[in-house]
Amino acid sequence: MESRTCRHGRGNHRIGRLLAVGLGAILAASAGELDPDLAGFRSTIQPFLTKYCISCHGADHPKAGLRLDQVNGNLQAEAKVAAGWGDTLDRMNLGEMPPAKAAEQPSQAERAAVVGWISRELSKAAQRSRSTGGQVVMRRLTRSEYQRSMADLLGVEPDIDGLPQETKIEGFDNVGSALVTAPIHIEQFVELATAAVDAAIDERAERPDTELWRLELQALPAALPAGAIQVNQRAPSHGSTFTLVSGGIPTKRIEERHPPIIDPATKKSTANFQAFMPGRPSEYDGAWGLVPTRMESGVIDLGFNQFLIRETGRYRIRVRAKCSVDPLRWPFGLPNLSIRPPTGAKPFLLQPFERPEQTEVFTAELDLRAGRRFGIKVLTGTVDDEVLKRFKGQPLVVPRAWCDWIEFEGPCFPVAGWPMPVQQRILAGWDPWQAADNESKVRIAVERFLAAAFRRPVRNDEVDRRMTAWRAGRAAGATALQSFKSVLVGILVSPHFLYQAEPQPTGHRRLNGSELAVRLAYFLWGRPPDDELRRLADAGELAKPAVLAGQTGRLLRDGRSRAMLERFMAQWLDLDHLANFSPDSAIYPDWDEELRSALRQEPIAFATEILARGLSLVTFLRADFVTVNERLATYYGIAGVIGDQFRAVKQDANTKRSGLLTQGAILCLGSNGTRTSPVKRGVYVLERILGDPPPPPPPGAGEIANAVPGEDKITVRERLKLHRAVPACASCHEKIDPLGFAFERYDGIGRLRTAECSGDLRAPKTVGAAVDASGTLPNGKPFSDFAGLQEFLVDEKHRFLRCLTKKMLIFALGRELEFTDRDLIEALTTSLVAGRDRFPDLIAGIVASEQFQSK
Amino acid sequence: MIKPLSRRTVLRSAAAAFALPWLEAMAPRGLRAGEPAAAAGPAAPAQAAKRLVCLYVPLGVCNESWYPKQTGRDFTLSPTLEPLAKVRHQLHVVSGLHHPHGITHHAGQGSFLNGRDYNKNPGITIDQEVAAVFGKSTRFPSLQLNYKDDGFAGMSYTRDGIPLPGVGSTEAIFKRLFVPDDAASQQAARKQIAQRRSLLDDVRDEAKSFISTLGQHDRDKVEQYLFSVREVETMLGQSEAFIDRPKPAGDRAILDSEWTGPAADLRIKLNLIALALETDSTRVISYLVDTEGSGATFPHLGLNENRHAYSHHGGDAKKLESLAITDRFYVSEFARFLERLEDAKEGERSLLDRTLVLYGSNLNNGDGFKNGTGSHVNDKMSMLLVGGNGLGLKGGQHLRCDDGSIPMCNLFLSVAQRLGLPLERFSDSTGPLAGLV
Repeated sequence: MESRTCRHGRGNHRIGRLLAVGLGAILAASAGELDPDLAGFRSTIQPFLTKYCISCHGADHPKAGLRLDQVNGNLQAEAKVAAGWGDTLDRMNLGEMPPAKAAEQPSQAERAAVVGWISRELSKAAQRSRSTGGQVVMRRLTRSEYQRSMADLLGVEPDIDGLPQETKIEGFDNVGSALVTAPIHIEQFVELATAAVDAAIDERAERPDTELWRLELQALPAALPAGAIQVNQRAPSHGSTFTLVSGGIPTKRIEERHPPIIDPATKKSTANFQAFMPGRPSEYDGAWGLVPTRMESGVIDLGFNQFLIRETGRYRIRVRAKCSVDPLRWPFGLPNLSIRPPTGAKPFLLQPFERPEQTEVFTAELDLRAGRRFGIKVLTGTVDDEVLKRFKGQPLVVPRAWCDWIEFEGPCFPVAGWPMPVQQRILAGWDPWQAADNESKVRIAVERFLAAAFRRPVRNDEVDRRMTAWRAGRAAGATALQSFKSVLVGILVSPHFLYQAEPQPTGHRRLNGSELAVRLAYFLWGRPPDDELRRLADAGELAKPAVLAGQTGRLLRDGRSRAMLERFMAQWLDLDHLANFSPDSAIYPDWDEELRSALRQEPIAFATEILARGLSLVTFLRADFVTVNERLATYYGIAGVIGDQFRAVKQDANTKRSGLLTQGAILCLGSNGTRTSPVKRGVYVLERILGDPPPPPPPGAGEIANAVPGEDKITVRERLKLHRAVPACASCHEKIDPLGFAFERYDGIGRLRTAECSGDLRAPKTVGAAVDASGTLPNGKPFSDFAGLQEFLVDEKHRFLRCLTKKMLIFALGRELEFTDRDLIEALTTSLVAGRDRFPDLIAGIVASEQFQSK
Repeated sequence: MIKPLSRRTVLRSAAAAFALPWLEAMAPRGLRAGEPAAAAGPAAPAQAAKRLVCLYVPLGVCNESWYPKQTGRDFTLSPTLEPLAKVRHQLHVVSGLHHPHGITHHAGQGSFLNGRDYNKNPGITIDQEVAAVFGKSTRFPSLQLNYKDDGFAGMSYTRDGIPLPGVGSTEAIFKRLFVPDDAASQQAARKQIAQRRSLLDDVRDEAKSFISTLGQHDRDKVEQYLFSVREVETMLGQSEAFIDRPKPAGDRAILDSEWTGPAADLRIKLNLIALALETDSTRVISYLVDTEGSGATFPHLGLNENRHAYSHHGGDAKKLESLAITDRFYVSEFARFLERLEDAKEGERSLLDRTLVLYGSNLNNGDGFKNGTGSHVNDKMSMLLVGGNGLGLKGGQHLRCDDGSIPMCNLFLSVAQRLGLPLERFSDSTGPLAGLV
C-alpha cells in the first residue's frame, strides 16, 4: 500500500523533481500549467496580429467591429474573451482568416503556432472553469448503479431502458459534475420504484395457486379427438406476412376448455391437451411441429387471448424444441426461437440452439397482471434480413426448428412458503395482514429499509417523516401494506438514496465510516455496501488502514467485482462504441453479432484473467496468452477451443496476438468498417495507452477528401501522405499516423492480412501491394511492424502505467483530475513502475489515498 | 428472494413493452381546437396558435437536381423541388448554411437541431426551445417521431442535453393521440396523479432541508433535482387538466397505406402529424424520417439499393439519378403534407400560415452546390423552410449563402423569433439569418 501524499500547496515545489525524472511531459496539468500563457501571447500572438490582422481589425474602422489591437490575451479573464478567441480559431482553421486576398500571408509555421497557442489556452480555460477544487461533486447513481442498488434492496432489477445514458467525461459515466437530473429522471425514478416495490411486496395474504398448461403439437389426424384444439395456418408461402389465427375454437378459450385441476396439497395444477395443426406432411415429424421462420407465414400460435390470467405474478413459458441445419448451405450459425407475446409487444428471443438435432428446453419468464388475457406464438426469428436477401429467388435453406411441446405456467414463485424471503426481510417481523395496526413494528421495518436505502444509520426525525406519511396513507384509506409501499417508493425517490451524499458545507474533510464504505462499494462493485462493510463502518472500524485494506481485498476477490472490471474496461477502452461498428457485409461476410459480442467481451475477460492470476498490469501491453471462446478462437485461427466460455490460451507465435492492442475489439474501433484507419488507431494509442491525446481536428476537417486522383489505386498510407502534405493537418498527423501504421497487418475487422487494399473509403479493393506496417516511434526511431511499437511501449511502460493510473483514479473518484492530484498520480505510478504493478496494488493505493478518503 | 433473471430471458409485461413516460401514457384528454374549453384547463385560443415542425431526412440530396439555378424571389423550382409548386408562396429554399460545431456524419441527426456535438457539449434543440413556450397549452408539450422505436437515438434534446425518446410505431402514435382511455383508467390516472403529487411534495421538503448541509457544487446538484421535481409537478398539473377532456377523434384508416415499408411509414406519419396539428394536440413536432445507416430501400421506385449507397455516388451519373429519384419522392410526400396544412383553415388563415416547417439533412454529399464526389461533409447543407405567411414571412424565396460561413443556427434563431420567442442567441448562432423575407 502506498503512503498518503500531500495534496495541497506543495505541487509547485515538486515539479522540478518530477521533471528531473523525465516524466513531466505527460503529467496532469499543474497549477502553473493551467495559468494563462501571457509570455507566449506577447512573443507569438501579438507580433502575428500586428503583422497580419491589425490593418483591418485595428482602431480605425475595424472590420466586423472586431478590434485586435487591444485584445485580451488572458482567456481565463472572462467567458466572452475565450468565446472571441474560439471564433478566431474557427476562422483560422477554416482558412477564412487572414483572408486569401490579403497581400501578405502567414507561413504555415506561423499559422500553426498561433492555432496551437489558442487551442491550448482555450483548453486550459475550459479545464479551469470546470474545476471543483479537487472536490468530488455529489454523484447521482448512474443507470447501472441505480439498477444494482435497487436489486440489492428489493431483489428486483428494474429495466433502465427508459433512463437516458450518462454524459461521459473522459470516457467515464460516473463523474459527478456531469451527472444531471432532468425531469425524465424524476419521472423514471418514480415509475421504476413503484414497479419494483410492487414486484417485491405482494399484497396477497396467501400464496395463490399455480396453474400449468401443456400443449403437445401433433399432425392433424383424420378426425379431431373431443376437446382437442386445431390450430389453423394459412398455406405457407415465402415472403408473405404471417397473420394467423388460432382457429377451430374461436369462441372457447383454452383456459375454459382445459381448466387446470388444482391439487390442494401442492397448490399446483396441470392441464394437458393436444393441438393439431393442418399443413403439409413435411411440416410434421411425428410429434414435432415445424416452427416457421420470420419470413414465412406460419406460426405456432396459442392465440392472442387464449389465457385469462387469474393471478398477478411471474409466468413461465417453456418450449421443447430442436433444430436441423444443412451446414454446407447455411454457414451463419444456428437459429434462436422467439416468442411473441400478444399485441404490440416485441418478439422475445430465447437463447440460441447449442447444437443441431439436439433436443433442448427453452425457458422465458414474464410478469403478468390478473385480469389480462395472454397468448403465445413461437417462431424462429433471428435470421438477419441481409442474409435472407442473398437467397432472393432461391429456395431458403435456413435452419429449421421443430417444436415438441409448449408449457405455460404461473404464477411461479422461487421458493416454498409465503411471503417470499425478500418481502419477509423488508417487513422485518411485521405482519401487515393483522386486523390491528402494529405501529411499532411498522416503524422497525421503515427504519431498516431507510438505513439500507440511505446506506447509513438514520436519524429519528427521518423515520418520523416516513411514519407521518404512512399514517397519512392509512387515513386516506390505503391498507397498512399499501401505505407502507408508498413510503418505500418515497424513500427510493429521495435524494439521499439517489445521490452518494457526503454533506460538507465548506472545505474538505475526512469521510466518515459509512461514506467511505459507500465509496468503496460503488468503486469496486458498482453497488451499495453489503452487511459486513456496513457493520464495520458503523462500528468505526473501516477507517483503520488494515481493516480498509482487508475489505478492499475482500471486495476485489468477490464475484461482484466483475461489474467494476466490466465498467472500467468498457469505459477506458470505449468498448460501447463497438455497438455502432458496422463493417461492410460485402467485404466482411464473416462478421456476425456473435463475433461482435465475443470481441466486446475479450478485453474484459483478459482483465479478469490478469486480476485473478495476479499478473502485472504491463500484461495489457504484452501477453503470452489470449483469452478467447470458441467463436473468437475461430476468428483468430486458434484450434481446439470449444464452447462459449472464455479461457486463457497460451499464445501461439503465429497468431500475432499479444496484449490489448492486437485484440479484435480494439482493432475494429480503429476501422471505418470498410478499411483500416491508421488515424483512428494512432489516436487510440495516444489517448488510451500513452495518455497523450492529440488536439481535436479543426471544425469542418471532416473526412480526407475523396478527390484524390487515382484514389482507388493508392493505399491508405499513400492517401495519408497526401493529407500530411497539407500543413494545417501535418502537425498532428505526423504524430498520429505512424503509430497507426503499426497495425496495418490487421484488416478492417482485425484479422491478419498480407495484402494492402486501396484507401477508397467506400469500396476498398485489394491492390496487391504487400502490407507495410512500418512507422516511426514518438522518439523518432523507426519500427518495421507492431512488434517494434510494442517493444517501445513496454520499454516506456511508465507512460502506460501513468495513463492507466489516471483513468482508474477518475473512475474511482468520479471526478476529473486536477493539478492537486499530480503527487498522487506520481506516487502511484512510481510504485507500479517499481514492480508493485498488479491490479490490487493500484486499487489499494487509490483507496488509501487522501483523495479517496475525503470530501 | 426473487432472483433477478437476465434481461434476455425475462419477458417484459405487455404493458411495459410499450414504454412511454407515464405522464403521457396516462394520456390527458383534450379538446379539438376551437371547441369550448372545459372548466379550468389551460387552453389558448386556437387562432393564436403557432407551430413548428422539424423533419430530418438523412444523407443530403443530389445537389444539382435540388438547387434552383436562380436566387432571390424570382427563381424557377428545380426538378426535385417541382412538387412544391402549389406551396411556392410559402417556400424558402435556404442553401449554404452549416453547423460549424456539429457532428455531421452518421448519427448526425443528434446535431441537426442545435449544431452541437452531443457527445461533448449536449444542449437544447430548437424544437424544445419552442416547446418550452408553446407546450403549456396543449395535451402534449411536443412530440418526437422516429423512423423506428429506437430508445433515445432521436434528434430532440432537453435543456439539460438529455435526448428525448422518439416513437416509431404508427399504431402507438395513433393510440397516444386519438384513442380515448376508458373511464376506469381516467380514474386511475387521477388517483395516480394525486399520489405522485403528495410523494413529490414529501421529497421536495426533504431535499430542501438536505441542501443546507451541502457545499456549493453539491447544492447545485440538489437545486437541479428540485427544479426537475417542480417540472414534473407542473407536467402533472397539465396532465390533470386534460383528464376530463376527450381526446380528438381520429379515423383509424389513417394507418392504412397501399405501400409497405419505409414509404408507407413516411406517408402515415406525415398524415398523423397533420392530424395532430389540426386537432391542436401539440404544436411542436420533430420527426426523424430515417437515419444514415438504416439501410431502407425504395422498391416501389424501382430502386434496389439503399440511399446510403446512392449518397456515396462518387460522381456516378446513375447513382446520382437514383439519389434524385429518392429526393423527389421525399419532396413529393412532403408537398402532399404541406398542401394538407395549407388546405386546413383556421378562420381566415391556413394552418400553414402560422406553422413553420423545417426540412433538411445534416450533411452534404457533394461539393458545395455541385454534385462532387459523394463524400459526406459538413459543408453547405440543403434546407427548406416552409410556411409562415401569417407570421410575417413572404415565401417564394431562394436564399443562398455562397461563402458557406453562416451557421444553420442563424436560421433556427430566425425561426424562433418568427414564432415570437424572445431569443437573441441560439447555440452557435451569430445573429438572425440575414435576407430571409
